[in-house]
Amino acid sequence: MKKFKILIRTISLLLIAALVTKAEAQNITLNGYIKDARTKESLIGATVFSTNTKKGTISNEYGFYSITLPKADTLGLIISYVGYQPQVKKLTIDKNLRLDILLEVKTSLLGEVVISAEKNDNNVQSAQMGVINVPMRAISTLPVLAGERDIMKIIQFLPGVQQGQEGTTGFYVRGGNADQNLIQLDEATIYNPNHLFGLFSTFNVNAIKSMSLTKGGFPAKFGGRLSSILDISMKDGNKENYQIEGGIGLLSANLTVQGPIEKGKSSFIISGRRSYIDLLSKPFFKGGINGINYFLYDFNAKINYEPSKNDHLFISYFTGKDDAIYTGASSLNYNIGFGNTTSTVRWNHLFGNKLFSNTSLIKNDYHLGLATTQGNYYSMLYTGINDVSVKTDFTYMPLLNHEVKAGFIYTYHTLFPGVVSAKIPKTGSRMDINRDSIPKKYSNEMAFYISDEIKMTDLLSVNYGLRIPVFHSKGKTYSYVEPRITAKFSLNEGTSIKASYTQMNQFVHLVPSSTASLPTDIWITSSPKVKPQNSTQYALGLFRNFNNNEIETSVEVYYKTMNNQVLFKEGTQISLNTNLEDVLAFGSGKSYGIEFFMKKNLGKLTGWASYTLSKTTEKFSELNYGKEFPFTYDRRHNLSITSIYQLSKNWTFSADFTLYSGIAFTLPGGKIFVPDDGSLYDGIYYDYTSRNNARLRMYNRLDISFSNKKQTKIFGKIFEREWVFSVYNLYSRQNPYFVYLTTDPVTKIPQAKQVSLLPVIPSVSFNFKF
Amino acid sequence: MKNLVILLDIFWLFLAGCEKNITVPQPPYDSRVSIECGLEVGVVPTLYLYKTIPYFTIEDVRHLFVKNAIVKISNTTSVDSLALDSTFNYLKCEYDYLYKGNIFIEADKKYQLSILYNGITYSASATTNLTAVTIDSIGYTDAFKDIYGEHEGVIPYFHDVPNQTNYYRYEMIRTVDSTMKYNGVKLNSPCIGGGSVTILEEGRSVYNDLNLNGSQISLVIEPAFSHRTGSIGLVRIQVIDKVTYDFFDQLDRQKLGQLNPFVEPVFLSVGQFGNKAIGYFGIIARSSTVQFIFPD
Repeated sequence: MKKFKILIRTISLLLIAALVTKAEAQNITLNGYIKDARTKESLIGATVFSTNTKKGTISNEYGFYSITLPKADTLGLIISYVGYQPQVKKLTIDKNLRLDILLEVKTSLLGEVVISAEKNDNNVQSAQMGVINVPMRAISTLPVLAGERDIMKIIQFLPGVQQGQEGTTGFYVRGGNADQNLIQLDEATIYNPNHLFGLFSTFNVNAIKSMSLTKGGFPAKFGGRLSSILDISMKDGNKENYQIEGGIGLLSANLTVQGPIEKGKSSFIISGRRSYIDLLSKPFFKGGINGINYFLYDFNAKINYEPSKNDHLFISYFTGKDDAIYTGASSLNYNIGFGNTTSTVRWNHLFGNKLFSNTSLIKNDYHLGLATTQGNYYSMLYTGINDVSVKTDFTYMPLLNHEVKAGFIYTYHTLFPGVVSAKIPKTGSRMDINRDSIPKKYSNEMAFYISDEIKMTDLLSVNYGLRIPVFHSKGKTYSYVEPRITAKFSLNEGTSIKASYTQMNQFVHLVPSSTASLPTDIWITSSPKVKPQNSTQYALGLFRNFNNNEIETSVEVYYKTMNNQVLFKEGTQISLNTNLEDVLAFGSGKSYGIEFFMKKNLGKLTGWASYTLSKTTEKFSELNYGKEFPFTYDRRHNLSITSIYQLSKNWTFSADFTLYSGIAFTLPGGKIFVPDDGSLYDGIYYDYTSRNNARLRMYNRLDISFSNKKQTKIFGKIFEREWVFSVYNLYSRQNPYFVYLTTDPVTKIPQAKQVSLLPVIPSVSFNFKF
Repeated sequence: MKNLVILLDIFWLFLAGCEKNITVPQPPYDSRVSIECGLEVGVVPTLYLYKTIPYFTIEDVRHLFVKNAIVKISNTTSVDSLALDSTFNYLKCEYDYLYKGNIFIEADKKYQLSILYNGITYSASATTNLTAVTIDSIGYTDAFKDIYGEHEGVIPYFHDVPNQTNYYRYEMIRTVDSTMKYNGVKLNSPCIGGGSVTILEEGRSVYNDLNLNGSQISLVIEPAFSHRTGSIGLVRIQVIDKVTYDFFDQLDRQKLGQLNPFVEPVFLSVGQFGNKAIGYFGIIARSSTVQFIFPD
């Protein structure tokens, strides 16, 4: 019987091999890299469309594509990409071909800003849902604070994404907390992507090539966070010519230099940004300006080298730092210093013409030190995180309607958090945190995954996969099986319905404080006492394009449940000796909503509008009497409108408007008097009836900018200069930063005081490129 | 150059933030009652009964006392009807109301409390089975750091009652006058005038004997009133039961949360009286007094 089974197995394998061979003999594979003709920068997500089969593929995150087609007398291909001139190829070949494509930038006669190309219908045709590729050109044009172009601010205008409070870090996706977003720069995790009290990000736009946000239907390749993956790629560097660009604004100055090391084969890019107000003010204002002093910098560097046609090596480095002293409203003062440093070494290799691999070695460091005073109390916090990771990913494209991905990642985490909070001593000497004495906590995280995207029929595509994460810390191992599936069904050429189901697990957690108005959050990992967070998300969407993809629209509904969410127990006051795991409460959350999105890609007026209606609640047995309560960032309504209008060849006007419901906070319902009999307490206590039972006022803000761009020739080289005049918060709305309660000392009437951060802020900045 | 810096200053001043009073809607709130009663052997029972009010409501505390409740404390052999009474508070220069009984509390007896107010009955029970402790000695420190900040401290030393879980609270009987401060604020009661008044000062926190079974315990207590060298106080340690401890412990933690913005708010949990009231009906056993003289 055993031998019979072996025989059957052998025959089956032989049959499969024969079929594959037969299929191979009948097909031709074309593969190669798609790049910008001028800079040789690889293009991510470029479309390669076969006119023979009416099917296509897209280039991966390194610009590589592989397409297998039935043999024919002539093979027709159309290669297209956002903002580039499409190319048409007619090939008469009878064997596999390595075909690298160089695309030229498309410039319209009217100088229109092209957000997306005409025939780009990836949002409808791709099986993937919940993915938004953020257009870099929009990032360069939309107004932001003090003229600083910022990718993090732009993603907060996307449906399902919410900003944190002004002056704090983080963004919130589909009801998830700030720690549930994985932010990667060239595959290295960035734990805190913000500068200047969260007002703009650590990412220098001049160094960034592409950015995509996935908020649902997560491919099996991604994991470790429940709510979103923000994948950012740095530019590789111009392999043909040297290029310098930079700018100066009210906050900072930046400079980017890129160019070839060996023309066509290797290049570099170096990009830096630094604030300068601290340098200028030092001789005149020793203690900072009105109690505010600030210093930031970030630095990106990358080298890439192609030793052969099948190999590509990348070395990336990023470091960023903030140091700030803030003396704001009478209730709040703080001193904060934090920084990220990452380095990545990556090697791409082609095995034949269908198998692409990437192997990466990644190291990142993050630290945050915060000392803050609010009223008569102070808090000091230090968080340190070191990660060392190794990962490898394979993409196998055996046939046109199959794309198989598989891979593995391992990360060694070292975390060292320390917190203390107490009343300010009369002597003024506060407890300090000695970083070297904070106990380090070590853990191991790894994951395996495999997925396949199949075009089952002309109308139906399915992407299904499995991810198996494993986490080990303090003698405890957690392992899971995460199924992932998304499906797309085309109703017609411009319309599709998509659905997805995903399970995610997360092993690093940011424990948020519900009361403090500052980032007093602490990072910890899972352990025997702290179970991993997990989520299950269902999503369904209708995607429809109009006018030859000039207008993209979508409606998505989602439902997400989250378990093992983490908050501090009531009354938690942390000292240096506190075991953080003993003061945590665990619960669940659920979020559901509907997201509307419309984007106009062409014409003088471009931009998008998004509206999200959602609700997110949590439930913890130890909090709020075990009853359900709103998530702090449960914003019922979230509306964003961005627009760019090309006034003339040189002048561009842009505006963005955002409006969202206020976040939730906790107000006492009543007051209780307990006779104090001469104790230090005044006998008045609060009767809290429910958590997060009040709301800050609605937030809304309008930003505008005018930019004037001109090109001239200097010594035969094209020199481009741009003046940007912008106004942040045009009508100076006093949007709430936080609310605190106090009692009028004279009338004894309880009062609520609202602190606002940013009024109208005009600015001017100058940018150049040559 | 200085002008440029000044221009940039103007920009940075935008980040200074601003603050204003706002009107916040009062969350829905149903008034409850607050009940405080600690039985002590050999003492007639006293009980405090207050109404709670919505947070943004202003009301004189004296008007919050419930004067028309029917309060009874009974055991298997007797029923004591507590009557409305008052004592004069020289610090506040006003009367403090309370309900006071007539029958002395006996040891090792189970007592039932019943309060009828506005058609609702509030009830609880407690058993007088606590043993008082003996204070060994009293020390003092002029600087001690804890979560309440840095302060001076009176340090009573006493031995824990072994083989049971115990809870403790500090109190001091002393004399104060108009030259002294209460919680950092000068006493300003016209009813004291140039004289002095005897007060009962209680420690803000309550303590348990976790990991200290039968050992000597020391507490560091920040005085609520200021003092002079040579001021005399009579220190006692209360042994309290769990319901009393739980009630005052959550008040202590909640007050910390009110004062310290980095502490999570504390919801007062459902106690003996269910959702209808907060408070306690518990037992206190006081130690004998030990004299303490404030040093230099």
